[in-house]
Amino acid sequence: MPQELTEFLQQLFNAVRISGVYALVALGITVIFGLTGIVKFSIGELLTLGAFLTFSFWDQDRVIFFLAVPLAALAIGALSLLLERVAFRFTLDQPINGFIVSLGLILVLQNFVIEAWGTSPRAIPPVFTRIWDVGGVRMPMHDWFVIWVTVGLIASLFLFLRLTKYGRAIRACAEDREAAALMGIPVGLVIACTFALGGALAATAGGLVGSIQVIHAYIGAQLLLKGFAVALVGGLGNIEGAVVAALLVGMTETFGAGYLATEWRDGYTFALMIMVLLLRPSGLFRARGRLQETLQ
Amino acid sequence: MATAIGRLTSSITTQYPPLDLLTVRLPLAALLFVPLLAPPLLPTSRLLSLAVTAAIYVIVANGLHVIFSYTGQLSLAHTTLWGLGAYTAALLITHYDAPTLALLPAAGLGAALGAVAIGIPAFRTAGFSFAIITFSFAEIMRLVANNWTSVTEGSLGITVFDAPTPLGPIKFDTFNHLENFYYLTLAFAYLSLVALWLIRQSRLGKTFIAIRENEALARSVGINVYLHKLLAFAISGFFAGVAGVFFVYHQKHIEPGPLSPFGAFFTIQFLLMILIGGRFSVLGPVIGAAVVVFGPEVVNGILGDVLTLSRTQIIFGSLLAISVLTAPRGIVGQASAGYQNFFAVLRQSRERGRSWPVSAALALASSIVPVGRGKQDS
Repeated sequence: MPQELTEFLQQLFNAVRISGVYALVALGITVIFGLTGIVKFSIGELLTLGAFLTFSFWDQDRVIFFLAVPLAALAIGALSLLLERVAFRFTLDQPINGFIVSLGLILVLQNFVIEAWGTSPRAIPPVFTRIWDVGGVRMPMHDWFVIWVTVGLIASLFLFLRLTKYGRAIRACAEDREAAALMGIPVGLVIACTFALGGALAATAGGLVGSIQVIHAYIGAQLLLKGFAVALVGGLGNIEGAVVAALLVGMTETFGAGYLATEWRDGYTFALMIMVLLLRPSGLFRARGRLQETLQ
Repeated sequence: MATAIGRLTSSITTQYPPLDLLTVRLPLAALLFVPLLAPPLLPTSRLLSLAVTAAIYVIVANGLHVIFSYTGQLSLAHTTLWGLGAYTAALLITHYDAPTLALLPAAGLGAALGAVAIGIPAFRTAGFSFAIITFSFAEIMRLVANNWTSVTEGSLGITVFDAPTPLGPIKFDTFNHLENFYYLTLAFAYLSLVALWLIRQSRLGKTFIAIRENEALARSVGINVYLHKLLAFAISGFFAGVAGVFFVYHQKHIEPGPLSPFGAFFTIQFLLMILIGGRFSVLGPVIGAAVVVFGPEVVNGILGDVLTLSRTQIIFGSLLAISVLTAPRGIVGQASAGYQNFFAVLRQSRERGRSWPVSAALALASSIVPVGRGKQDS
């Protein structure tokens, strides 16, 4: 294969790998926003916490990775549920207050991680160590594993929301909370579970990120911005949009860093996000539901 | 007990008595002059240095007050504007040896221009989108400071060794004349407070508040909302920029780290000050800054160094969330509501024939946990 093509395919592979992680973060943000109108900024810190929990489970008790990640997701899901019960549910009528509460939670969670694990970077070794070399394109088996896990999770989330009774309840609440309540849907419970779902998705993303790159106490803050960019570009509240936007953002920054200048890597994402917000404030793919008006 | 208080306070229809000018407002206003006594009162130069930090924070928080509390726009680029002022000052000092009095307007205008540059596209959006778009601009400016190494020295940052230029015989060297530097900073903190109060009293301030309360209505009575938002943002940027000068002289260093004042997350600290202090009061940011800077010192003094930096942040983060949920009007709002509740409950309780001690206990309890809301003095 010519050198340029190899390089291009390598970049594409890297873009797809990171897009999956962004998509998981963005889905958590987008589902919660679609349902409650609350922009949950603290989801990045839930990701950090998830990554460190995965690290601890894996390291201390030698629980294998396949168990450590779901355990961390479960724990963070429970924490998320708790936070919804004690804080976010009181901000449903004023989403901007929910946003400020989540800013406070960023301080709490980030510094909790620093208290518990310190600021030094940690790494979770990959489960699979083989590296495939296809015509010069290096593809670690573990990265494929991460890609397939994210694809699987996103697909199951879709199926869950589209096909099951519970998914339909979530979508009904997103369309119109009052009408859903009149149909006998326990709206409060649905919202609480959605917060748990968002937290669990973020924690899973954290565990997966931990196995492909070094983690530190501030990683959530960085990934939050990417997840947010994805959710906004895709249209807040729009799940399909988030997946497409994740690929778009992943490729923008990977190719930008690869072919233009590496040091502006994050800048490409922000520029894309600002442009989308200015030209199409509701995102590339229009979000559904009445909550859209809170964005305008 | 609790239900009794609830029943009593919920039946209060008129607020009695209002915050009396002579007995309450003036004595409280006298407290504003306590910072003047800080140098003789504070035992160590470390504490005096903290007082300088508090004074700088007051200026920054007062700026955020204009755009966030008055105009109702949640800007997450505020500390970036602060950093912009600090960089302007640092560059002017290191390259041109600019005198301090020239730096203040230069850095203020630099940050105000930065605010306008961000605001022109950002105010096409509102609400969350505005918060997030300012956040992205903040991160982009941090990237610029990181990557434009020929000017900003990149991630190393700029170190400033110069002391502020003397004003006549008064020297402001922060090593040997920290006290003078403190008074200089304090003077500008007072100035910013007066400016804030004047804005609040003026037609301009009322226009800002009209935009916060109901943007569509403000527009319908002929207010140019976009222009006024830009103006509020520029004013808040000016405050931040001026504070940047003092920051550079005090810290002697500015760098674009994610957790430095140039990072967008640092804005949360100032939101915290405003929300804890009270977003509906001119004095909110002052009280908030004092709590944020000296609160941990007091706790550490009493309990013996239990608060590390991260523990302090955990507590402040919780306080931010709790104050938004339970006391959206902050310390000022709670205190005035508590004061009003005390007398109202005392009077009603006496009228219902309860004995003095019971009434006093009820009144005290209801003033500590003010269930009823006091008059809103935005």
